[in-house]
Amino acid sequence: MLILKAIRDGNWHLSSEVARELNIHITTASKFLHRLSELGLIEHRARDNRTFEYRLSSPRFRFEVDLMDDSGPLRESVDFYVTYFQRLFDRIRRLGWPRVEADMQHRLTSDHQELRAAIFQEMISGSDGGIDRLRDLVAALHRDLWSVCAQTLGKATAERVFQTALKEAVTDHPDIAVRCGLTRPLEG
Amino acid sequence: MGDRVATGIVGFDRLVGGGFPHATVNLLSGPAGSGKSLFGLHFVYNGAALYGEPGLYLVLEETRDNLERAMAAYKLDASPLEAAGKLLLVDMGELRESDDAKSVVGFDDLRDFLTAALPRSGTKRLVIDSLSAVGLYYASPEQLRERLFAFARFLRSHDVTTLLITESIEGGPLTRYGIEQFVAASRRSRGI
Repeated sequence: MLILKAIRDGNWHLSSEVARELNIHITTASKFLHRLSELGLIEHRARDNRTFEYRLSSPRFRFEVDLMDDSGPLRESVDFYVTYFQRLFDRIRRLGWPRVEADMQHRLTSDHQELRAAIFQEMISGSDGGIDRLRDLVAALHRDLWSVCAQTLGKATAERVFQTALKEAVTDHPDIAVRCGLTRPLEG
Repeated sequence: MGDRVATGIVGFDRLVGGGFPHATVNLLSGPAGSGKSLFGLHFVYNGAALYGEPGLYLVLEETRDNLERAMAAYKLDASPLEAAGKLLLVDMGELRESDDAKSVVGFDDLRDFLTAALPRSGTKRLVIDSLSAVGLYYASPEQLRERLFAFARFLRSHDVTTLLITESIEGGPLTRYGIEQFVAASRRSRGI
């Protein structure tokens, strides 16, 4: 969005000009301008054999985002963590200690409301901090759930349960788990 | 009789002077299908239902589903006791990863678990079903013997009456590994 605003005057701009205005690397500016051009949001023309110029086709445009179709990183990350917690609770349920399961469910659904709210704010604003906020929330929840489990079942048992759930989640979502470092909050 | 922990199995309690001695480690052995698990289930179920003593049944070899089916056949409904925290049927087999057929639970793991679980649950009656499964964890008989003896010492240091279950092979030694009986205050054998 900032890149689009940088060229909103309708004139032709080089990547280097955009990079300078936004204080970003020229490679980053080129990459985003090229992608925006591919999407048809801006026009481009060759300035010489090596460089392109870009301009906004129109200062006004409208687009729709269908989150059901668009598997962006945040959505994929949420899927990964949902899988992880599902596997974790499956194991705990089958292990057979209802009180532990109930305590963990309570922690999972009630605590850290401020972190939950922050994730939704990031989603609404469309900024890039959603995954970071999500990781913060998961790390806090992980610590809570670990504490409940280890205090009742012992550290060795808790470790087995948590590690198995994590392995299963990574097996189900190997790409996003590695690409976005999603396992980090769960390894402490 | 006051130091006896009644199993609630009337004929057995009459035979042994009222039940197991309080806070002791006891061994039940027998071949497959001789009803060892069923005996253990009655011990913890009756303890919770008839005597108000919380029980913990650790499943290491069978599955929880199998035990629930066996209990249902005898009209033992564990659900209300589980919900009240009086009876726990914990399936340690769930600690295995899906592709791991070998037992992954050793005596040190059990000890770590029980150190946390016994005070949390207020358990007075404990069944471990079975030692045969834990034995698979150890590479040598010496290692198994050493860890089993240490584990038995740990159990005796708690205010809990324990029933260890182990299998025996018909025509073979009394117990699966031939050493389990040496850690127990009493041993019962069941035949088919």
